[in-house]
Amino acid sequence: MASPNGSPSPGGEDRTEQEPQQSEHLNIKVTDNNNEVFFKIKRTTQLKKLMDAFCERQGKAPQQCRFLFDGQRVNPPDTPETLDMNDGDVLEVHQEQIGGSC
Amino acid sequence: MTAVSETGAVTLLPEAPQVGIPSFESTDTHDRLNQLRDELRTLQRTESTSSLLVNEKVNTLNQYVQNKANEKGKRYLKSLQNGPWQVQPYQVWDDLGPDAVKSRFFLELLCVISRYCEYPIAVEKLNAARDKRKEASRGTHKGVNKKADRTVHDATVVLQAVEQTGPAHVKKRKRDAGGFATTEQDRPPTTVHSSDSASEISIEGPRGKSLKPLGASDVTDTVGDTAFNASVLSDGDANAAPDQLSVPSFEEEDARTLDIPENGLQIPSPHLATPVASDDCVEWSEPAVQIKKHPKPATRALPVSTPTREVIDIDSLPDSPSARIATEPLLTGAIESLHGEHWLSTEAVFRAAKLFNPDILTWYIAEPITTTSDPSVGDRGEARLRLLEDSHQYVVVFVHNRCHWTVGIIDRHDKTIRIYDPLQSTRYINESQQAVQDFARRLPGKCSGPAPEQQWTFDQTPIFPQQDDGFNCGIYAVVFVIFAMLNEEAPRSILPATWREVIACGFKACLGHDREDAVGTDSLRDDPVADISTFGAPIPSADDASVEGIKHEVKGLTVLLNDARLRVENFTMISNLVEKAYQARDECRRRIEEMMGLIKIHLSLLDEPCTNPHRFPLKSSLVSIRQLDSMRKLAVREIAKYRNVAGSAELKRSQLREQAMDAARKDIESW
Repeated sequence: MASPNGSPSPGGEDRTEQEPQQSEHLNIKVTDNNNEVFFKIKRTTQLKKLMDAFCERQGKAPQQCRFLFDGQRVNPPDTPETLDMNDGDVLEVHQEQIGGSC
Repeated sequence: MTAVSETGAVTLLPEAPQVGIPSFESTDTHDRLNQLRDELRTLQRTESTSSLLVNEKVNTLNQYVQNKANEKGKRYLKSLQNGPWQVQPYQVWDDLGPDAVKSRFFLELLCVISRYCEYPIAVEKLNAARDKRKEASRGTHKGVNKKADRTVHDATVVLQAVEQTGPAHVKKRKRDAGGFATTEQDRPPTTVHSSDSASEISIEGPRGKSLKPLGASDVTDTVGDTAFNASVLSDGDANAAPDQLSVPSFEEEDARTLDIPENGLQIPSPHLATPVASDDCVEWSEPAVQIKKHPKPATRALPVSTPTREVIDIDSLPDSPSARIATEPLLTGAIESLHGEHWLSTEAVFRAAKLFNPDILTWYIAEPITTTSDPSVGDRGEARLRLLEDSHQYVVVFVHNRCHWTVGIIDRHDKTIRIYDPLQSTRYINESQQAVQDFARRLPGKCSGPAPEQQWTFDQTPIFPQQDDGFNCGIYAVVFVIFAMLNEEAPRSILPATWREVIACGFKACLGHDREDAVGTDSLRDDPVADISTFGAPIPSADDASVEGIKHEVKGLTVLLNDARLRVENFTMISNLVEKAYQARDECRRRIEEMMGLIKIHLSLLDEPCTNPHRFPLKSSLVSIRQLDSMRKLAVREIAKYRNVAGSAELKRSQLREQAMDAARKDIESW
């Protein structure tokens, strides 16, 4: 790697060996049947905040929404880091149902 | 009264105020015509009524009408406003009524119709279609609403009619818009005389009337296509009106072109023939534009609101106060749904099955699906189940069927599916089979067993107790899954209320409540002791000693004994399940130890100098270690749940047993 003035920078070889670091923020799409909302979130931020923001924005009760990522339930303390999420991943929101009989 | 738009079009303004129209007595006719044109142009054609109103009032009216329409309706109203006829929203309201404004389909059709014919004509046709619909006999228009003022049916009828007449109709309308009759019958009889000039044609008015030039004193408004717009017919007055006026012939109108006339008339009044001064009459040269020049039908698409992608920065939002209960809102709702005779929620059936899963490496509890799910949600190709491993032979999936729970157990090795419907309804079973089969086809990963080409087959409907109430289908489905996971023989019957209590205890344990709180009496739906003590209240006293009383007492005791026997069976069954849960916990522990051993082996291999890189590839070792570690974490988490559930269930079992024993003792003593 070269510095802006063209001269090789000290320790440049070490930096080239490093893997490209993942960005600190992620863009996550949250979708239900009708709506799509895009969120920008840090990898270490709990997804509870995102869930609350989505529910508040869509006027839904948190007790009525199930958030799924890759078919698996997303718990409020989870973070994008623990779920190994990538930029552009999608969270599905399913409505909580009740059943007895008809 | 007439007005001229910027495009040269002219229309009738029935109630518009008079404007100062100059007389033609002056010799400088062209200047006066220019002045007339300017004054007429100040009146917008579309402001026929609004010219009488203040602009603010018009805007208020339009806003009021637009608020009555929905979003798409507003677009159509705007399209009409910007269209060739520049119809204001309040005009639509006034002409067609409130029903028309509220129906976006009607407005859509009105937009299309206005491309084929003039707006006033469209209104007339719509009125005619409405009248015809209302007057139609019952047999001819079956199923057509005969009461509504405006229906889409009317607009469809009109649209079909104008579409059939198509371009010719439009052409005729263009011609008629010049102020002449629509049909031959309506047209006033005129006599056309050709003058010397090839471009000049003289015409006499109907019934010997001559066309009176503008500026006459008796200017009256004319209505309809049969009227001459700018000229007024009057009885022959040689001093005031010419005998002959030259107007364009209908046959030549298409051949005319829009030429800029001489003498400074940049845009001549389209409905007027250009007068040429004479002593006793006014001769009219050929006007440059004789017809109302319709703008082309609005072919532009309706305005479409482009979705804006707004990204919300979560980290910039303020932190909300977090309560302990708020971390598990779904589980709280699940506990509530287990009370009394409430219907079970999605979370309740899903978490209950997970709680009693004895082998997390073999059984996978999938998120419940619904038979009415929207296929647009998520990736409907291959299901993405992150934690599904190849070792999971069975996948349990609950199916929400409108308001009823069924469950399917998928055997990935044998490619078989078992469907259990607590109501044993053929309809629910068929719908659930379809949903579960679709889900099974999308399962990812490989599993040992038949070839992938093999079709999924359905096992025979399992023998299991049938739901006999209207609110416990979720409990029956969960208990079926528990027995299937534990490989237990199906019970003769189950007690849903007891199962509700046991599952609620487990959920409360998961929420982190204390054990005493988890098995507190507040979770009990009904107290069996109270039931027994209050049973037989209407039993007659001993003094009566009637046979009926004794029979009733015996019958009541029989029911009581049966109920007690059933409870004892249920307690025994729960005890067995608790034992099974302990065994499953031990089994999980054993497997975890095996996994830890495997992990150590992998780690030790990594520590050793690797001479053959193909023998112990680094990447595969890391992947397998990661998988084993994730499974270990999952197992530890599940074991913690089992421990809580098992402890709660055991305590509950002992309490219920004591209560039943007390009740039985009291009953025997009273007997």
